[in-house]
Amino acid sequence: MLLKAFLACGAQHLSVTSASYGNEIAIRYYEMATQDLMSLIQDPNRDSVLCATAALVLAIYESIPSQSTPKINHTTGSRALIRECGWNAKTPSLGGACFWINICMELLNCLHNSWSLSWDPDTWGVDMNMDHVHHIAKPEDLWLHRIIYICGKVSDFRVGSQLQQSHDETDAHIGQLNQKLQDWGHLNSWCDQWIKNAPPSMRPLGQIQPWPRNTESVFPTIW
Amino acid sequence: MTKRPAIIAQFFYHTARILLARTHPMEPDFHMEMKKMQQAHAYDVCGIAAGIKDGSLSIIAIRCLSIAAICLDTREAQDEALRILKRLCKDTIWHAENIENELRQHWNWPHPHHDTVDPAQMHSNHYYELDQPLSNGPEIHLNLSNPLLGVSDFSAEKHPYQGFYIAPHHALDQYQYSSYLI
Repeated sequence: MLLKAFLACGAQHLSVTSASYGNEIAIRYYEMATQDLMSLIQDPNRDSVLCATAALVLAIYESIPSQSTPKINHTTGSRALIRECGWNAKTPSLGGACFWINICMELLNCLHNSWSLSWDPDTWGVDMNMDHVHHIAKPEDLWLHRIIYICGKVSDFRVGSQLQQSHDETDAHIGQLNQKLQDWGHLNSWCDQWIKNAPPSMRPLGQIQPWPRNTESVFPTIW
Repeated sequence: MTKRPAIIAQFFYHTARILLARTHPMEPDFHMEMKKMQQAHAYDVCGIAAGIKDGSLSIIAIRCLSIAAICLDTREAQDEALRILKRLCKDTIWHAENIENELRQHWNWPHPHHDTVDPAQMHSNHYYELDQPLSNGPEIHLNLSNPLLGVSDFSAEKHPYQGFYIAPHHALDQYQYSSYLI
């Protein structure tokens, strides 16, 4: 099932990026993997890890633009299976990877479409104690998860500020404005803390502004 | 930045800063300061995106670039951002034209021509597509809401996999999961 789901993704990608390939093979693999998954989720003794992982891969398949509309919505299905497995930011290995792929896919869509996140970042389980120095082997993942959390909170803040657009002078409005200012300051200070405390491996090795380099680019060169 | 997590993190960091600058509650009073903040972080996003050679980062780069590019206010920067965008979209599943058209609207560029629709790009009603309007700020109100809201849990009335799903007998326990730990 998992292999079929991956093959469906690969075939679909090829059919979109290359005119030499049709999408018939992709659709076949997608339907076979979906059929397998639909059978498995009727079994109460199923392998939940396998089901959630395959559903996520099929959700990625559905994210690839296509002329054919998928019959099953694995985007919502994979999220529900991931939640059922209890996977979150604290889950190691495969479950953690599935959680973060799923979250990042949603966040990128929320950023683009100005949608609220459906999974409150405060319940992801991200360790946001950025003053504490962690002596862990690979701190990059932790700092990446922190900035994804911050970006998720900022994304939701933006949606909230779009919804509240009254400009009256009532006490309620002033109270609301004060709250928004406080929230904004909090989010901004998280960004300050993140950039201040993130390890050097998370920062650019160098950055050159365009003006001294006589380059054709107006943007800085960052590497 | 040689590691992928570092590049992805920088994209999210600068995007968060751009959105914060756009949504300051007292924006009129801090207009110049916030505009400067948006520009600085937008230029950084474009600079990082310009250097992307790893195809696996294209989707995040395209998404963040399309948000950052809205802030660009010189023709030179806008033209270059479009060149970066087209390069990133090459060999990916995304069509640069959709994002380019949205950006042209945001920048108030005159519409070059009436597009003829390419059948290969007729893939509307798709959740993860980039052909919906880029949200700029308070002036744009989208009616669409996140399709994951309220349905992505098996306890919901309209839960996914209706007609197929049966709750497992046992919650996933450590013993079952341990076989998947690398």
